[in-house]
Amino acid sequence: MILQCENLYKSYIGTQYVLNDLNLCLPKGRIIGLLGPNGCGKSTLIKTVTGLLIPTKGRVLVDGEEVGEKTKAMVSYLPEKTYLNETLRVNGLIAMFSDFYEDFDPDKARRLLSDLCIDPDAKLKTLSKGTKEKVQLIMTMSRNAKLYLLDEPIAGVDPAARDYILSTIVSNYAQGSSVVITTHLIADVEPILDDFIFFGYGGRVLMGGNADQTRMEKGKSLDQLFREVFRYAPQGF
Amino acid sequence: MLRKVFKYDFNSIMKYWLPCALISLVVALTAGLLGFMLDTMGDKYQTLNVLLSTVMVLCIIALIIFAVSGLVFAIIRTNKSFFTDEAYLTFTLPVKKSSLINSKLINIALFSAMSTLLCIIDIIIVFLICDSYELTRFLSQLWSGICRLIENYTGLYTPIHVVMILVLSLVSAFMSSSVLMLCLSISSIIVKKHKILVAVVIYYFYNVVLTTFFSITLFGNGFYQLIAKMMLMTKDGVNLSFIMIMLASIGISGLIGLIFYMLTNYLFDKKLNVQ
Repeated sequence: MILQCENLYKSYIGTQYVLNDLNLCLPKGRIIGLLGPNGCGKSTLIKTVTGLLIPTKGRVLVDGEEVGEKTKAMVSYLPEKTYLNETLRVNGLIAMFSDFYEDFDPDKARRLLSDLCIDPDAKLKTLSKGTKEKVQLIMTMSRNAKLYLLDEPIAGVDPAARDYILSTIVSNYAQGSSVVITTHLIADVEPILDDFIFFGYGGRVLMGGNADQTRMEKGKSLDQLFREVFRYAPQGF
Repeated sequence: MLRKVFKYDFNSIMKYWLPCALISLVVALTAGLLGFMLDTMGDKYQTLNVLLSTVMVLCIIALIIFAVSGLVFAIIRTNKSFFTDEAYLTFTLPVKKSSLINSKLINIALFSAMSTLLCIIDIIIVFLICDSYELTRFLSQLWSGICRLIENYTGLYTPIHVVMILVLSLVSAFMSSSVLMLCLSISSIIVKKHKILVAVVIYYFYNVVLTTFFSITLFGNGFYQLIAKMMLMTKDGVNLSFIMIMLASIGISGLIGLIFYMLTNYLFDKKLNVQ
């Protein structure tokens, strides 16, 4: 197992539990969709695995290790927001990632940037929002990580960009690694998923399994299944 | 990993500080020239006198701003990398949180020292151009005063005093940086918006509490009576009293700095959620 969550609780100051006694195991070598409505705790779970959030109770193990310095070297994280240090140029960002991450492949990064005609000497603060997001994606997927965590990678982008992002994910993740994609845009992500998890409010796992098998058994797409499962549960399901 | 984090923080701050440093040298040259012009032509033309004086005052204000620029840029860099969206990158690097904190503290102290040095160089430039004779006379008088002070009051204790003053400066810089980091950490935990404003408020209250505490303590313990007594002491008595006061200052500053540093590390490790 690449990821294990044991009796995981997470609440913020003055709020109820966002993750409520979550127990989860994710296998190695799979593309897994963490699917759920807005505010159900998908991003909270991802941030807890990356070490950005501290669990209120319980623990998280990445490849058998507790979250810390070692697991951060194994995990490649793409947040929803733009996190770039805008004092750098694109080349500077590549140098930085090469410095900190032993599994980073700078040649792959340059190749992907060249495919998108992004000037490696360009200052990050001069790039458009969409281009910055693509640069971030390229940096994330240029690592040969054991676990890729992509938080809403296609939210807020046009359909052509979505296709590019998803094809980049599929063609560039390291063999044997796992990819976890959180999204509420099921129809776009569904074709690339091996497994799926429907995440309800409070971080509860409502349904999960092999994507192809579930589609065959239920005779429906994951998108249709998602609408059924969450139709009568706007909040608190 | 501390070396790598320090390198990137240093380079990021330097990108803003270096242009300011170069501009401050130009402003110092300008202020020096204006001073020279005032000396030579100011008396003859009243309007020119007023104009030159006004511009010179603005130059001096600019130099004062440059003197604190290093500290300001270092704090802005700390805030950006810890408490804005850039924190998503900072806190997912495979680096210990203590290394991230230490890098910021070292950079705050380093750039503060560099800005102070730059300020001194600017002042020397102004005097050199404005009136090099005055500068030479001022430096000569300063040196004579220092030699007299050494001869009358310190003697063999001079190296110890110099070392203690340097240590106190370093410890005070560490304490100040630790306080700033702790204030920023606390504000990030308790509020989601206006973190800088809340950090400033916390820093203000800390200063009020500390000043009140030390005023009461020093008055209560007769510190000022001690100073008065020192004036009547022998040379050895003065030196020993000075050493004791310096040791106490270093100890207290160091202890406060260490407590705040450990508190900051604790908050980063156990309480700080990057949202």
